[in-house]
Parts: sequence; C-alpha cells; structure tokens
Amino acid sequence: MNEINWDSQRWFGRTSKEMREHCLRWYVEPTARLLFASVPEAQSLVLAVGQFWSDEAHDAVHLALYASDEPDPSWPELAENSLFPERWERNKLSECTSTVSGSSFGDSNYGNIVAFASQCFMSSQDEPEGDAYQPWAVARRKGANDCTSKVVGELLQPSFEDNFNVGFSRIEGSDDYYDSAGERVEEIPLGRIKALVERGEAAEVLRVIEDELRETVRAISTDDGPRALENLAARLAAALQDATRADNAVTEEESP
Amino acid sequence: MTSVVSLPLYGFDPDELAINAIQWFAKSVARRALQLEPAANAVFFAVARIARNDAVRCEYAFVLSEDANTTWPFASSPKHNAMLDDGRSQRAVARAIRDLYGADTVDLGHGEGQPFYRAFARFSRDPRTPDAPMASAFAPVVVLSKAVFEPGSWEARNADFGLRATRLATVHSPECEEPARRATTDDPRDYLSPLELVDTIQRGSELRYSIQRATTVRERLDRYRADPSDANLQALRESLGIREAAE
Repeated sequence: MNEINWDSQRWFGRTSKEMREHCLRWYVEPTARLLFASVPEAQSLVLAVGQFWSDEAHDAVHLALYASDEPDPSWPELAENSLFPERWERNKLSECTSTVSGSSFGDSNYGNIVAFASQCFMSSQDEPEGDAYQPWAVARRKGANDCTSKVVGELLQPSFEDNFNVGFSRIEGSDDYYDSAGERVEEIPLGRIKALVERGEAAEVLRVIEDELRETVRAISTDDGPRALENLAARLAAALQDATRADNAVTEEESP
Repeated sequence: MTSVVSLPLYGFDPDELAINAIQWFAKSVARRALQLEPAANAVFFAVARIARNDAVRCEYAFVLSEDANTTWPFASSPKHNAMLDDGRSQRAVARAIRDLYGADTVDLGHGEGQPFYRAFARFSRDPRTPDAPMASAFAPVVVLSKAVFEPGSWEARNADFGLRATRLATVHSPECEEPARRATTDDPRDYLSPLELVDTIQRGSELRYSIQRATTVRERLDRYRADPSDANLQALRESLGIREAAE
C-alpha cells in the first residue's frame, strides 16, 4: 500500500473496454463540458485515435481531441478545420484538457495501446492527421454546458483487445519496433509465467538493495564503513543467489 | 433537488481503484475548484464511513484551504479556515463538480463491496452518523496543493498552476483491507493486475545484466569490508555509479 504512487499519470482498468470507458467518462466528457461552457460556438468534441510510430515505440497509440462548430463534423475534414488547429499552442481546448487531466491523457507507449490499439489501423506518422487518426467518440453539446457522447469506433485489430503485453512494457525482448501485439499473458503456461514473475521480483530486490547500498555508501566514513555495510552485504549475497536461481528457472522453462 | 451522476471507477484491486479516483476525480475537482476560488491554495480530499438506516457508505469530502501548509483537521475547522466559514469552499467544490460532471454529486459506488468503498474505507475512521462534525468524522487521504510548473514546459504553457499531491492517508480501519490475493493462489495472473504483471516480468528481462553488475558490486564490497581503504571505498562507489569524489 505504501508503494502507491499518488502522482501516477496512469489509468487503470481490467479490460481494454474499461480503460476506454474511463477515458470517455473521466477525460473526454468533462473536457467537453468545460469547453462548451467557455466556447459558445463549439458544438462537438471528437476523440480521435491513431496507431503509428512516433519517436519511441512502433506500436504507440496517440489520442487527439478536435473541437468543431458542427454537431456532426465530417472526418477527415475535421482534422484540417477544427476550431483550435494549433494543437501545440495554448488555447481554450488545451486549457480545458489541462484542468481535467493536468496535461493531456494517457501514455502513448503503454496504456493507450492496451485501451485503443484494437480500435485503430496501424498507420504512419508521415500520413496526414485525417488518415493517421480516426474518430473514436463524439461528445455533442447539450444545452449551455453539458454533453452527450457516442462511441463511433469499432474493433479493427482484435489481437490488441485486452492484451496487456504491448508497448514499452512488452515482456519479451527489448526490440522497440513491434508491428503486432505480443503473446497474451493468459496463454503463457503457468510454469513459465511463474518463473518470469519470480525473475522480475528478483530483479526488483536487487535494485532495492543496490539503491540502499548507494545511499549508505554515499554517507559512509572510513571508520564505521565495514560495520555499516555488514547487513547489506549479507542481503546482497542472498539476493544474488536468488536472482541467479530465478534466471536459470526461466531458461529451463523456455528450453524445448 | 440534487442531481447524481454515476461514473465508473475501475481497477484490479483497491490500490488501482484509489489511484484512479485520486488521479481522475479528486485532482480534476481540485484543479477546477482552485480556478474558481483563487484565494485557495490547497484542496483536501477526505473520506468517512457514514451510517444511515443500517447501511454504511464510504463518502468523500473536499475542503479548500487558503494555507497550503495547513494540516487536517484544522483545514475543516472554521476557526482555521475562513473559506469554510463563509461557505466559499463548499460553493467552489459544488460548482467544480457540476462543471466537470454535469451533476451535483458523483456516485462512484459507495456501499460495501463497491469501488469507492473498496478503495478508501480502509483509510476512514469508525462509521459515524451523518450529523458528526466533519473534522472528526472524515479522515484526509491526500492534500492537493498548487504547484508551479517548470518554466517552458508543456504544462506551464497550458495552465496557470499544477498540483502537488501529498499523501495523508493512514489505515484507520484495517478490517476494511482486502486480504492479499497472493495467499490464496499461486497463479500470478490472479494476484497481480495485468499492468503489474507485465511490469514485473519486464523488469526481469535484463536480470542477467543486473546480476553481472551486482556481482561486481559484491566483490568490491567484500574487498572494502576486508580492507576499508580510501581506494577500495572509491572502487565501491564507482561500481555503484556514484560519480562524485569521495570526501
């Protein structure tokens, strides 16, 4: 419990659908309400999603909001003629998203992929926005400052739906250039997944001990040094044994 | 008549539920309320279990404070908080919730076994009656205070202030904690959330490199313990990636 990161930017759901609904109800709709209250001509707000390589990961999923003065804006035209075309400049829309989320929403290299990759086609950052992105939900004005929303996206890449083994958290290999979803964790044999988790936990224990050692060694004086390090030395030795055992267990599980 | 909107609070376990509620409910309300009430500098998010008609619900409260360094329960005491005294705090919070969610109250599932209860009942005090004074009935979970963004950052360009979250929660009601799933199953997919599972596994993907590095650290540590010379201390520091010169 003490490990909770209260400043986490992540958002959680047990399924892709829950994560998408969270995004719609906690991000898109509140942003639309604030926008409609402050920009009388705004009639709709569209959340568009796109999967394309950008700077870091090949399977990254990007989210973008487009405001329109029409209740039923046309796509891809909206990508060219939205109310606030300068997405990187401060404007009424960016102020609303900042109020709701603190900055923008999500994590292109992990959470967005779990939630929305199934709703996208793999595209390219070289494409125009209208081709790289596609609408996923529309929030329409209702009265002075309320909205109704409708999901317009659909399942396009089933291998990504409810698949958490994607993006920067992908569990096998270190290659960033993925062009498909990873193996589903529910399909990994129990023995292998237990070995993989034990290996991850062993790595974490080593990291924690090294961090403690670093802090202790920084503050150490030559007089009390050896005694101050006695306990940490014993823990490091035991953790190294466990880590070696855990690493071998994964090798055994993965050998044919 | 008070309008209520039900919003989904998702998560694998109480911790994920709590993070979702703080990140996407408490912080959004706090940012909006601070915009509406510029004299305020901090927002407390607090919870209480309230007993009504034989049922107990875990409920939330927001309290604005002019003083970012104030501490609970002073923030909820009129003596120490002029904004509560004249109703400005409640008005700003009510307006913030209406602006964001289109209703007077947000229902996040407050009964036993429901999401908000699962996330926060453990941080609440014993169940109280609805007329109990706020300061003693509610327990603070987090204080969200105004923070200055790094100049030139994306956040600074788009907002006048950020939020700094300081955890205040302590477990007052351990009987409301859910039993650790790990004790009942050996399948990590049942006791780790999908996110924790892939994070944990991914963390191990470079274990061989970690073992090599830790082996070097251990050798130098043993050498230093046998001979605590400056040279051996420096070698140990280097193996740990400590760059500054030894004192």
